Amino acid sequence: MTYQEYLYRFEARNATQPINRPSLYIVMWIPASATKDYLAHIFALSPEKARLPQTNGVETFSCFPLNTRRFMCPLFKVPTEEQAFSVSLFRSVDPGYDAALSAVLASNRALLAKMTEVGGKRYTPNSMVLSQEEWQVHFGSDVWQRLSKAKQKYDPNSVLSPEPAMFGDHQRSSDA
Amino acid sequence: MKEHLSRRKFIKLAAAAGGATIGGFDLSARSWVTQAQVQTPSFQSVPKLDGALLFDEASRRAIAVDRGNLFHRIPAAVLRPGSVQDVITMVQYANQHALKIAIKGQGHSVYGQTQAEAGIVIDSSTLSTVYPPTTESVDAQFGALWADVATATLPKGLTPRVFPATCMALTVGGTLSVGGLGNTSHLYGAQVDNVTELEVVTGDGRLVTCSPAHESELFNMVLAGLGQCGIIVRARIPLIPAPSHVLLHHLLYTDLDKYLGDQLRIARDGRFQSQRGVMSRNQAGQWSFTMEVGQFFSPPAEPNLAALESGLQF
Repeated sequence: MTYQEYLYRFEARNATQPINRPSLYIVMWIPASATKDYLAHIFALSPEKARLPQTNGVETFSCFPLNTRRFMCPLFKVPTEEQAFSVSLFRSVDPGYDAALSAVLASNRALLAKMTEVGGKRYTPNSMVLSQEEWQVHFGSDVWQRLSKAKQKYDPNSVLSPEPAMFGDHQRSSDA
Repeated sequence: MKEHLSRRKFIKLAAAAGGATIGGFDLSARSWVTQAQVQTPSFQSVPKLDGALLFDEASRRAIAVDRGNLFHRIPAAVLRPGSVQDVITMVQYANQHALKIAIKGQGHSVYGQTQAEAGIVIDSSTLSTVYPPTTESVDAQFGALWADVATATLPKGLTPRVFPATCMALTVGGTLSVGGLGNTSHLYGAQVDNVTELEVVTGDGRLVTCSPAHESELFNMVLAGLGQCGIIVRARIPLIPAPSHVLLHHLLYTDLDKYLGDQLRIARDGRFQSQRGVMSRNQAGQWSFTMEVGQFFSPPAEPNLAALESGLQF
């Protein structure tokens, strides 16, 4: 195929994806040495619990390797091992199905906790809503201090991007 | 656009914004939010803009939707900027009036990251110019799609090193604010690893050009920085010669160890330019694993797939 066809090869599929479903995507980088054991937690989920995208009854998620030394940006965190696997779970539920939503939330939380246990890192846009403490753990103290200092310097009045509320300056209403 | 809005009219708008917030699911608290946090922004002296500042309910509701369908935080206003100066003006205004600003591109985030309750959301789609590429690089505004970048560079035989993996309709500003992974990332890292210069509107309303050599800390804290320190308004993306063709092959595995081992091995030796993988479970509950590998080439050169696949255990 041409390079152009290659670049756009998923667009036809993308056009058929429903866009109104509550979607709880998580994307994680799992150290290569821990990946097989980690995947067992995903394989163990029944289809009803996994809620992965399906095509003709076949459920899918993506899983491919990263050479972690290729990632140089300080805010793009990867595991310390030289190789890792990107694991992307594009889970969603039917609109209004709150019980399923809660179940997937809990399952995501459990998978992300296991990710942290084995030295994995999250892809920040697809990693649920985090507390300030979770952001600190994600970035590590050196990078967190650097980012906090930069926030103070470049956005002293905390005007930009109230979500994600990583600096805890956005008062979120909650009846928890 | 209304340049002046009475205080009274504004309060009405802010109340509408707060009251209209649909009970979103608070994922951090794991509870349904019913009470909106209502701020009291002040639009009585909106500066002159090249674009439009929209206050109508339809615009404010429409922008409060993303791919997650979990949060719907309604802003007080939507800015459709007509210039970078509009972005600067609005950020300065937000500083003066204690308002929050979020940026929305194509809205592919899922956890409400592009929303600002009772604040201002900047719709980047109105600033989507891709400038004519040189042989070295191309400059694109934050609202440009990666598809627009392809349209500008491929006819010149040039390409960025990393395009988004499965969707070309993502914005340059969006993926550079989060990371951006592609099917060539095993060779080149993320999209944020493949930028040489940025133009940024900082949170205190200054327009700064930054790069690894100039204002490097701003550069480092904006790439994958989730919009916390500045708004990327233009990016310079280095280019390499584009292949004309790609030979794609799908290698099917049923043995997980062999799949993982082969994936790691070919990522390490870099024999394929494109590499991804999908895990599938059929209706009988059986898992299988598909490695998609791609060889870039330009005829008359032809890739030798058999040689490339030697030693693999699919």
